[in-house]
Amino acid sequence: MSRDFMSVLDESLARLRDGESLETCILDYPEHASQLAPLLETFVALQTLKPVPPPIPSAMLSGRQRFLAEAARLRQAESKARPGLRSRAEVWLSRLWQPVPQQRLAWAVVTAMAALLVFVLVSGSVVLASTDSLPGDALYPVKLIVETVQLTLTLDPEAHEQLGRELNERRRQDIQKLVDRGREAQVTFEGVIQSMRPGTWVIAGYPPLVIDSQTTIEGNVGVGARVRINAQSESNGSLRALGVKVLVLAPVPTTTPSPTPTATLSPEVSTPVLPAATDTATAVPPTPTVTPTPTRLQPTRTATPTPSATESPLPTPTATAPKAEPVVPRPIRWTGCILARLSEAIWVIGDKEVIITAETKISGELAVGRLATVGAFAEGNRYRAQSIEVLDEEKLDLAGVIQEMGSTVWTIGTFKVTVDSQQTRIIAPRPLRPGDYVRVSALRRCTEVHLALVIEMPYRKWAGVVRQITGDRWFIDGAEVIVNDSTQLIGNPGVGSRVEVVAAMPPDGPPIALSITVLPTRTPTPRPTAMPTSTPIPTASPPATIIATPTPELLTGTPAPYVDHPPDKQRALAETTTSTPSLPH
Amino acid sequence: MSDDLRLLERAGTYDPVALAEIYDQYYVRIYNYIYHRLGDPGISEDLTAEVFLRMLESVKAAKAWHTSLTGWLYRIAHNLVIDHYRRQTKREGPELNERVIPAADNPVLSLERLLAQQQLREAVHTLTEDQQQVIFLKFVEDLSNAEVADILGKTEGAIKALQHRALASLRRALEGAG
Repeated sequence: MSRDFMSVLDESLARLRDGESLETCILDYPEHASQLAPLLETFVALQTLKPVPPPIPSAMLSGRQRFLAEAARLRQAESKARPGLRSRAEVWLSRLWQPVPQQRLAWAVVTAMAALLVFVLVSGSVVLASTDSLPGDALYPVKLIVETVQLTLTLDPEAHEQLGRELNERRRQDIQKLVDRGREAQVTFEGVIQSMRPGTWVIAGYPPLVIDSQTTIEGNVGVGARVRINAQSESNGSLRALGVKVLVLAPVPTTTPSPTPTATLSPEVSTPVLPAATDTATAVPPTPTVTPTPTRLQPTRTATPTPSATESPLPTPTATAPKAEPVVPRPIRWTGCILARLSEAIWVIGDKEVIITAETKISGELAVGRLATVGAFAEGNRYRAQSIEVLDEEKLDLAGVIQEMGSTVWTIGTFKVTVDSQQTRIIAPRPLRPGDYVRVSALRRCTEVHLALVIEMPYRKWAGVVRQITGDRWFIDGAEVIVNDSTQLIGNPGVGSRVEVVAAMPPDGPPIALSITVLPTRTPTPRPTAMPTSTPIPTASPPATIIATPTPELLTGTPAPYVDHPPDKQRALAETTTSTPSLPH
Repeated sequence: MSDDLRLLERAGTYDPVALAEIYDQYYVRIYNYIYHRLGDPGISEDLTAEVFLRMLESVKAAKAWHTSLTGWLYRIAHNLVIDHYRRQTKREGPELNERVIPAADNPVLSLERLLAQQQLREAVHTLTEDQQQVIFLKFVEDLSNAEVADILGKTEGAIKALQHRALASLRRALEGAG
């Protein structure tokens, strides 16, 4: 094929895609019209493939969670397996400081190595150049090494403590400088939550921390909790939290907090932390242990003010002590499937147990299987709901063969539907059974099981004369039906019989006869002299009468259905007459 | 540097924000592509989730993608579809009982349309793999010649020739079926 035609085809396809008509495209290339037309028509036909049933939201969400969890696992594994230059140094340093007894034997060796390292570094200009470096700079690890070695070699307890405070202050200054200069870098630090406002937390002594929907939070956060923060300083001068991990839970709020906090109130004094270029936990050096002060950390937990909305801010005894602010707990929002109702007031939504109170604002109807967005506050292991918004249910139409019929859950095709005695309507000429092809109108649920509203068996009923029988195929006035073991033959029908047929209409084959009933011959009916019987039932085989009716006589355009509320009543009526499907209610 | 490449660079550090952005941006597109190839919503959901996990496995490798994130993800999806076909000892065509009919439609019309779709899909499956790819990527997913070329590792000129052969073959297959 000529190259010209391929270009013409490509251009025409692009025009069709942009909305031009097929005729216009063909008319513009009369010399190619005969070749172009069938190809463009094929393209147009392909457009019918575009509609796609949307993926189930819960599948999408669970896939997203798996994906992000796997990413977190890989990130952790990578940082452990192949630490980079900075993190290697930090890991080494952190090991250096491990206070575990088995490392004490190596202490002298390590100290000697550290001294040697300091000697080497001090002798060069590297150290000087690193002094002003910040997280993200190439020389920043050098600065950390030098500082940590200095701390190591400071053996006098008071001097060591003083140096620890200074280094800790430098770390804070480093982060402050990053933020002030709008430089982007990842940092890790520890501190005590001083206040929590929606979207912004304050970690004592550090710039305000932006908390957004991407922030991952591990543990029960609260004012007073000691946390490790992994954050990103942004070019706009903000410090955005990527992850918050609770190291020490917030103390239980008390209405009579100690009025005289000690001077060791500031939690950072005894725990210098290093901002890190990576977010590995090992980037945070541990508390120095050269001069162990086992009680030093205690005041952090006991003396930190834990203000509540009803408390007055505590006096601040030192210039560096954080000022208490009114607490505004940050609600957590999530969207999840309503999985269970544990009691009237406790529901499981997503992976959390939610407490519903009189103050909870609920929009929509709470029901297991529906999707809801919850705004709640952590309360122990549960969440006290502030608001619950039940999301709209999506209508779902599907079709398939009944595979299983449980007492409340049926499998239709690959779908599972709940068949509810109050909410599900069944339309069929006879009680349904496995193997029947049905159409289902359902409410999509976020669980695997949808709620069936209508289950309908497509069927047709007509009258005609049996013209031919070939094996299991009967030809009744031109229409072919399959007669199988489950077909009810009433009145001994045969070739020449005038019959009424009720047949299921599967989508992929000829109708399957559910019943074939011989009809009485058409003779003038004498005027009844007595009350008629309720339903005439053929009792004998009438003489074969060939009726000259060439086409089937369609009795029901809209068949009178069998309707029931399943599943028990439906089964009880399994042998209901098929000639006159009726509404049992 | 394009937005995609910037996103990939961040994804290379397993940045959760970047990864979440990629997932949210591409999930439905990849799901649609796999659904068109397999015609089964459940399997399509499973394989779509697998595409993103595979992406994580090789996001560190600088050569994992050629020029675009889109192309890379579609290639992973394509490979998974092929693996799926290979795993099936007996290939099962899309079946009616798996279909979801758009709720607003008349059920009877929907069934007719599904039958037509099924016939069309079966005709597409008689084509060569490359022809099927160009049919689904270009005519159903609406990707450009450049994007399809990137995914298939061919030139744009080759894609134009391929689309011509694909449409002509499909036309013949449909006429044969009719």
